[in-house]
Amino acid sequence: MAVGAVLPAAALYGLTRTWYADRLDRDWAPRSAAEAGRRFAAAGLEGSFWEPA
Amino acid sequence: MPRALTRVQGRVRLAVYRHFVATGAPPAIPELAASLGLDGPSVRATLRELEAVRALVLDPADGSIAMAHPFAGRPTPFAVETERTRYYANCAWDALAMPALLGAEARIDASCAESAEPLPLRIGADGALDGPGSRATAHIAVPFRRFWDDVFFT
Repeated sequence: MAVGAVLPAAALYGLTRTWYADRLDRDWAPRSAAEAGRRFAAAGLEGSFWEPA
Repeated sequence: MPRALTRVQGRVRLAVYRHFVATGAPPAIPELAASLGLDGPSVRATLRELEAVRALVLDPADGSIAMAHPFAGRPTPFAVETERTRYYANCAWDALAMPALLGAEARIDASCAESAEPLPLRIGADGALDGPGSRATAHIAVPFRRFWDDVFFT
């Protein structure tokens, strides 16, 4: 049974740093699914689990 | 493609985040409205607009601010202690995000979801992870395309 994704804490920490890097910026804008996908890929997270649609 | 926020949406969103950063908690709507020189109904309408573009999450019961990721508006099992105050995160992912977002060292008091074993984790100013939680793994149950189907579960 598929149970999702399992990430070591260090890998998840690396993802969070890029995921939330602009969250306190004055000009923050909603992120497109494609941009989210690029950030996952940059963190080495690929495959259907991380695809936007 | 998502659009940029309007000026009012941007002001309200930023005020929500600044309140979380300063206090660890969300602002009450009247307090938020007063701080921005706006009326309550306008702020409530703007918050609903922000929720529609997934900029934050409102409590369906009373319309209060439930989440402004990574911050949680209510106590959760993911407490993040900094020199300034205690914050609550929505999940392990969000807890790990806070030190860099806040520019602060932090201790995350989390525990294993299965065994309840404490898994404290310290993140230093240099980004180094230390403590039992640094050797743990995080389980993400929901695929990205379904994150927002039930964001309270995700």
